[in-house]
Amino acid sequence: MSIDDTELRDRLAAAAAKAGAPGFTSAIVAARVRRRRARLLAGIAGAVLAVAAVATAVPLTLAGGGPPMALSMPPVLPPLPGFAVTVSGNGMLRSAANQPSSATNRASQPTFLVAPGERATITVVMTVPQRRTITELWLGITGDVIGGPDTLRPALVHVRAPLRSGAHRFTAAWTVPATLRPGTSRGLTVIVGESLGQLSATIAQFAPAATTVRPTLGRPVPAAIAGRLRAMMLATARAKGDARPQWILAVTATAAEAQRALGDPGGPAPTGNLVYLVYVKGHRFTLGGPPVLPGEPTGQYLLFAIDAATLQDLSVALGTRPPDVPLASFGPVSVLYGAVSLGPDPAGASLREACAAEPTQGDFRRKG
Amino acid sequence: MESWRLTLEELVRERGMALKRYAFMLCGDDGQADDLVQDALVRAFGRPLRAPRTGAAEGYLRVIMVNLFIDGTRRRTRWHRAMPLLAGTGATPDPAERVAERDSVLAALRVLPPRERACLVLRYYADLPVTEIAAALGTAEGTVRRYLSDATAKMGAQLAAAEGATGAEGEARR
Repeated sequence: MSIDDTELRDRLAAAAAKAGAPGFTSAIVAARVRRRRARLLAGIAGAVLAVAAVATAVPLTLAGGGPPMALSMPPVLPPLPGFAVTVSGNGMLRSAANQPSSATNRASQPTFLVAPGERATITVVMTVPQRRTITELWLGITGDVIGGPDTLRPALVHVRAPLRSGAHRFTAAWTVPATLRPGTSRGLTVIVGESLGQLSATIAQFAPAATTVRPTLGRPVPAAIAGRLRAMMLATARAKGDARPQWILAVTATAAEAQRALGDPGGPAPTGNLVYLVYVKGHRFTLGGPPVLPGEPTGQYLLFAIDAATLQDLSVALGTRPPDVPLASFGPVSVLYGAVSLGPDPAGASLREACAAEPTQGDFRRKG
Repeated sequence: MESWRLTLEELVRERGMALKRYAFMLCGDDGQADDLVQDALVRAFGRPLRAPRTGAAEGYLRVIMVNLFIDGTRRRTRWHRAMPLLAGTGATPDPAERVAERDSVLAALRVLPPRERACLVLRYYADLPVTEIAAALGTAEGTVRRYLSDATAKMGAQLAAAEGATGAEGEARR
């Protein structure tokens, strides 16, 4: 049975008239509105502070199974104080760049070669600029992830006292894990607390020597290294979206050549002077790996600069076309994986051109 | 005084009763209607950069109330399923529910599912066209027409049944 529209309207109006007077006042509602606004604003302010703190240095791993790779973003809050790191130990330790490091530039972070199981004495000198006061400081060892103090494993130093402008020296001992494998590393991370919040950054790296075999320019990649590089690159290719790349090539090059090839002048410097340029051809890669996000650049070619001493990634570039300059121009090319004819080099074409293309053109993306 | 506060005061002063009635038709309960209007006002004015302007505030509030009502009904349905397990059988019924049950229109409205009820109130009480109801509920116009058709049919049947029962009681008393 249906009901006439007019009758329904009348009856609904009559029923609505039975509602009592409002049991609230504008003052009550206004008070609730104020509380809600305050909560929202507090939430926004907290989020901004958190993002600012995290944005000062976010380590991004290149691959799940591959070596870690860090990308630091410009700080939003005042930059970290300056740090100088020195390490001494049982003779196996040496500093590649024993100079003040910038927390936001991985290129200037010193990498220290360490031996698994070794006892290392780490000295850090922090220089606090004028008119700044650090209220709390942690120093510790981190893996791929850095964040709050609970990510320090272990925390080596914790100071909870005002540290005013000037130099402050901290010394701590750390036993390098016996399980630290070549191609992996640990970071020396500092977390400083100021009135605005906390900032954290990795100021040095510890990496085990990859091998006693020393690479030589103008010679193929040593066989002892080739197998490890192949395993690393296959794992990295899988993490970046292609478990079965078509081929992987490698060549020994100098740091300057690698930086030019990757269009990354001033990029991270290797521990020694040599790097392996590794070139991977696949079907579809992204720098972040799957799932592919909307608008995320993809490509068929990956080019890595790998520190020859530690086998750590220094830089990586993603491209949609092969480079123009043959890899052979850097030295004899080693085929790490896949069946490749090295006649007209598939790795041909200009590395420089491919890697130097503007990221906004959607062709090559670099991360280093 | 802040501009949002002025708008809020004006709205509560001038349209408070209308909003309350509208909420009452949606939820069929006086106390819940008060809560619904307040929640909608807090939701509308609680965003620092998106507080409604004077002219548009009432329509905006009606949309918020409908959505809060439908969402709240879903939550209450879940709660009502669990409540007997928690409260046992000795729970006292809400007196407001008894009041609503005495009114045949409100009782008939209570039978309708929340979306059908919202469509009916928006169309025949708030006099909104189907297109605006569809926009408010985030659904297609055809769906709204179907809800309205079902709701009026159910309302007619409920009211006829209620009035038949009342007539039979009166004759029995005589």
